[in-house]
Parts: sequence; structure tokens; C-alpha cells
Amino acid sequence: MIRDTAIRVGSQAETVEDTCAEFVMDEETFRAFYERTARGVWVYLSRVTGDREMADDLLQETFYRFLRAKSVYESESHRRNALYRIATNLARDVRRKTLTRPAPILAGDDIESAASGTPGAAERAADFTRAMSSLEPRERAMLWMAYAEGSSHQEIAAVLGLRTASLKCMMFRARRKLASLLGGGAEGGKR
Amino acid sequence: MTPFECEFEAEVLAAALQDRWPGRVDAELRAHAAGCAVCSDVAAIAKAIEENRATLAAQAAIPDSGRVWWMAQLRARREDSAAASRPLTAAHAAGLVCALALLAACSRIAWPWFRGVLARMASADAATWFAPAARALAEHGAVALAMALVLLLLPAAAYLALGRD
Repeated sequence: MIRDTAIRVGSQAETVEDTCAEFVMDEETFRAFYERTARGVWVYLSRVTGDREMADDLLQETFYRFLRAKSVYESESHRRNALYRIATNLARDVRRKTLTRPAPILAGDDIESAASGTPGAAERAADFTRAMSSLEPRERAMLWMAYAEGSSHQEIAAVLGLRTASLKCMMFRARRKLASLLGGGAEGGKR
Repeated sequence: MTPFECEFEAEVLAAALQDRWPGRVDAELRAHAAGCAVCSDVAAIAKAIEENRATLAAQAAIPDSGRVWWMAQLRARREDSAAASRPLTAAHAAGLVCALALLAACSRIAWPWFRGVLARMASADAATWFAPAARALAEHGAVALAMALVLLLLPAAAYLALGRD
């Protein structure tokens, strides 16, 4: 049990019993919530930032800020949206700080992993990574939330801080852009 | 429905995610998607995003929830402790400023007397200036002692106030 565990940090040993920080939920609830959401948040962060190591760092920061937030959550989906909103804001802040450096595009491991799967998977993974890296970070985030996380327009708008009506239009454009980069979609499709 | 939405979008999305697109769907839906920008784009991207999500999720090395909880507790406690000690540090700094102001005021008050002593020392020999100097010291000894104490204690106070941060 973690409660009985003494963990040594540097030369200083402390137990969890010594800590009494006030969090938005208790340990048991947090652990269950984390198990349900952490993988999805990591994938989201790694896709939005395009950098796995950054996603590792931001994942912990996201959950820390979530725990420290003085918010009351009405439901699981409200809680989940708050988590993604924090992740989105962190990714945006990191992007602003590292604007001068070109962002890594998360290609190598994607392709290697996909190559061990079905035939043609490596090419598809490479194409997808290239196409995603051509999108704006906000476009990546909205498409990912819609089609990887299954979030509704209202949820995505809340997470990205947009109006739902604006989001629909932006989503349409982002989808068109990605479809055309992937070589699919109806080029002259009617609206 | 806005021009950016389509009522068949969910149907096309489900078909794409379930590997039914385009072979195992109604011809009518296929024909609709061929002319609908929303549905054709959804069909083109949904499967690719889902595949990529599955690949990334399989690679994700997520830290243990207990460890994340424990690290968050430690960090929160450290931050709380830093926040609690902030007013104390401010009080120490204010004390230091007050001490400096006191020293400046004492110096200003004592300066004419000190200059007079120096002038007399310069103009007379030891026998003639010793008596007036001793008398002056007896009259203003308290001020001199306070200044000496402030000068001695100031570095120690500064160290105590700021050194530990």
C-alpha cells in the first residue's frame, strides 16, 4: 500500500502520512479516475504537442493542477472536460514558450510500432503523422477530441474555450484540411 | 443543421470505425457521402485517427497512479509551506528596512557631533582633546552605543532574514 510506503527523495525520507495537502478528491477516487483517463490524456498530449517526452511531463502536471483546482465537478464528464482543458492550456503554454524551436513531429516510434502491425500500416502511420503535423495545434486538438476521444461539439468547445457555433465551422475546415492531406474526402463535395 | 454538419455524419463515422466503410454500407449512404463534404471527410479521417490513437495508446508508458498521487502530495505540501512562509519573509525584509532607516537617522543626528570631535582631534594634541572627547562621549554615549549595536547586529539580522531562503 502506498500509505505504508516510505519513499526516499535525495537524502530525505518522507511518508504519505506526513503529507496533508488539500486535494479536490481523495486518493481512492483519484486513482480510479487516473486509471480511466491517464492513457487518453497522454495520447492527446503527445498528439497535440507532437512530443512524447513533453507529453510525459505535461501528464503529471495536468493531474497535479487538476487535483489542486478548487473546483466542484458535477459529473464524470465535467471532471474529464476539466482535465482536458488543463491539458490543452498546458500544451498551449509550452508551445508559446518553445515557439522559436521547431516542434518534433512524433514520427519514428509511430512508424516502427505501426510497421509491426498490418501490411501498409507503416506508410499510413507516416502519412498520418505528416498530415497531423501540418495542422494547427488547435485543429489537431479538436479533431483528436472529436474522433479519438468521441467528445461532443459542446465538450470540445468548452475545452478549447470556443463557442459551439464557431467550433463547427472550424472543425469543418480542419477536417477538410486533414482529409485532403491524407488524400481522401470529396474534393468538390457540396456543403 | 448548419452547412458544416450533416445528419448522416454519425452513421458514416460508425461505419468507418467498425471497418464497414465503404464496402459494407448501404449504397444510398455511399452515394450520399460521395457528394457530401462532411461525410466524405469523416470517412477519410476517422479510421486513420482511430488507428493512430490505438498505436499511441499501446505505446504510452503511464506512471503508476499511486506514485502520481504521492508526488502530487509532496509537491503540494512543499508549495503550501513556501506560501505560508512568504509573509514571514516579507516581515523580515520590512524589519531590515526599518533597521537601515534607524541607522541612517542615527547617523544624521550624530554626524555634527562626530565631525566636531574629528575637527578638535585634528587641531589639538592628545592632552587637550582627551578631556572634551571623554566628556562628549559621556553625554552622547547612548547614541554611540546604539549605533555600534546596529552596525554589529545588522549583518546578523540580514543573514537570519534572508540567508535561509
